[in-house]
Amino acid sequence: MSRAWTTPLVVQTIECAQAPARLTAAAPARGNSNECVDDSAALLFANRANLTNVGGEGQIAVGGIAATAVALYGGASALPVPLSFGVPMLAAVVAGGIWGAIAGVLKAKAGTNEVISTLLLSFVAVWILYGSVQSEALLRQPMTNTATLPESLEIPDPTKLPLLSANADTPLHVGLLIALAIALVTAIALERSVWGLRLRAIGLNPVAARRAGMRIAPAIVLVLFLAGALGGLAGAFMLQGDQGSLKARFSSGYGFDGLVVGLLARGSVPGVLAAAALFGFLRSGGINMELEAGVPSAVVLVIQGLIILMLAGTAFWIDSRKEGTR
Amino acid sequence: MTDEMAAVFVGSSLRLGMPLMLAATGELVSERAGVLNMSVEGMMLTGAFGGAIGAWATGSPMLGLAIGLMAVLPVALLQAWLSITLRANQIVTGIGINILVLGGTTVAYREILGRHNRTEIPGLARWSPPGLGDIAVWGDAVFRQTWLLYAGLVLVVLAAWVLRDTAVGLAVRAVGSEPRAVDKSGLSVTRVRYGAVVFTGLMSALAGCFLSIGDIHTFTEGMTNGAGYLALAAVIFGNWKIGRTVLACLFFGAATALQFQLPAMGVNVPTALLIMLPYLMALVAVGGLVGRQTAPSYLTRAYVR
Repeated sequence: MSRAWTTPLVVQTIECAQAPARLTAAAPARGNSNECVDDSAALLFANRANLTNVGGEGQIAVGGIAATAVALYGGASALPVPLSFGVPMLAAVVAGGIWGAIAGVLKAKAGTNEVISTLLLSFVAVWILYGSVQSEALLRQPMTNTATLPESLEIPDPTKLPLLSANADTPLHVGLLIALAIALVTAIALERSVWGLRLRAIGLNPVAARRAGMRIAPAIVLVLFLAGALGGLAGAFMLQGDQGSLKARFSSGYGFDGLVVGLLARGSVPGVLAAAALFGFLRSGGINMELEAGVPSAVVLVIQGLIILMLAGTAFWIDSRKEGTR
Repeated sequence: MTDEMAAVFVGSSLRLGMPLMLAATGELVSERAGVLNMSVEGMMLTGAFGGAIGAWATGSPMLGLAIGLMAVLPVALLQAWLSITLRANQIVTGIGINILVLGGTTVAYREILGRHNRTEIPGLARWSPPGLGDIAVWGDAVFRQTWLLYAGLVLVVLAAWVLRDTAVGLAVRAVGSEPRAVDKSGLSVTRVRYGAVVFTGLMSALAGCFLSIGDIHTFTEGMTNGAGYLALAAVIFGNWKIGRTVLACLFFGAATALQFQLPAMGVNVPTALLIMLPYLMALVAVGGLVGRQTAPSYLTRAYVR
């Protein structure tokens, strides 16, 4: 029984240990791809969360719900400037974190595979989002006529993320700076602290780590909390930096894109950069392709699918070349 | 609840639970052999598409069914090749296949039938067991179903028997729990796993055909809409046992049927709550709240000699 759950744990924690490197890569990629800046940002942050779980979609969703609720009805817009957009963001971080931590608790208490629990949690969250924008008692905008869309009100301007430049063509917002700061802190925490070392030890050999007196269960819960928190933050960025109001399809596919990018990058910084930029370009390119050339945007899905399969399929050869013959 | 409503509810629970049951049974066999197919969703969609286009082109739902089953083979073999021969990450490749199939069927459907076509497609005949169909109210609502529903029930029972009582079933289960022992006994782990994945493909394709030419007689883009993931959840909820998995599918079917039933009865429950119910239930199950979960020990692990 124990053997069955050890492998995922190892994979999960190793991936967590590699998170900071990937996070550092996230920020510059935003600047690189002007067209899909916001897409990539969200995607890259979802990617952070998805390194350990496939629930990014759900964590983005709960993050979006929390940020919307606080921005619209929590009185955040009345606060002074950094707080006015910071508080909704914080709410999203906490909500996403709790959502991630549920999977952590399940794993620590019942040995539940986090891939399965986060996937299920993700579906639940997506439908909570759907329900909350369908019901006026929750987040749906007041129905003034029959054409009122099932979405929330637009969040007040003070709660939106301030842009970095006055030029509206480059919609870089303050999220970029926040991302960099988080990247730095995470990198230091994981690479240079005792805590980071312990985490890596648990990832490499949980049995040895336990024998050495490390407590594994709290580490798992904390790691999944952090992963979820970054997913929640991605949701806040998408809401406050891009979409402005909460819609039923708010998180559509970003969680899965992020998962795939994270797994394809296989722990390499340039890998995340390249994969995320590619997927970001594909997403925004597909929309333009449909508008300009009449090519169905579903072609993008075909291309994405093929890329995923080809890269995942060849991973075996790449690994065996790296490791040499054992 | 009136008699008539109850009958409609039972009938639609069966009808909505059946595709899940087919796909989940297929997936269960494969998971018992140690291969997780996240691509059940994509396989179902392929089957639904193949069946619909086949039935439309040939005018015969039977040929459509055959074409749907054929169409899934490349997809199933691709999944098998990736996860067994190439030892690729089973979750990533499964999601990759789902994305590929969603894109592929959407583009192909638009190319073949035009953008917003809602063509009625010849569907599978309805049938009711002799005698049962004539019962007042209940006969028509519950028992008069696509014959594929009855065939599906037979298939599920057959699969349960093969898995439990035959040498083939033993091999499948052994490959998922002690592949090394199977290898030493001279049986090919690879071959058994390939077979299991192809079986999942065929069962998922049947489930897809049930949706497109059995139930609603048309194809819509991405029409499986998460049913494949629901089938995966059912396997988990069923604790990798076929009886419990089938019950879970019926339960999920009933939860889906309630979405339409409750508003009709004047009960106001948010739709979202009913849709998420199956996932919540599966979550409770994997959380260990309904007995200990015992996944096959080599699930998602490639076998290296």
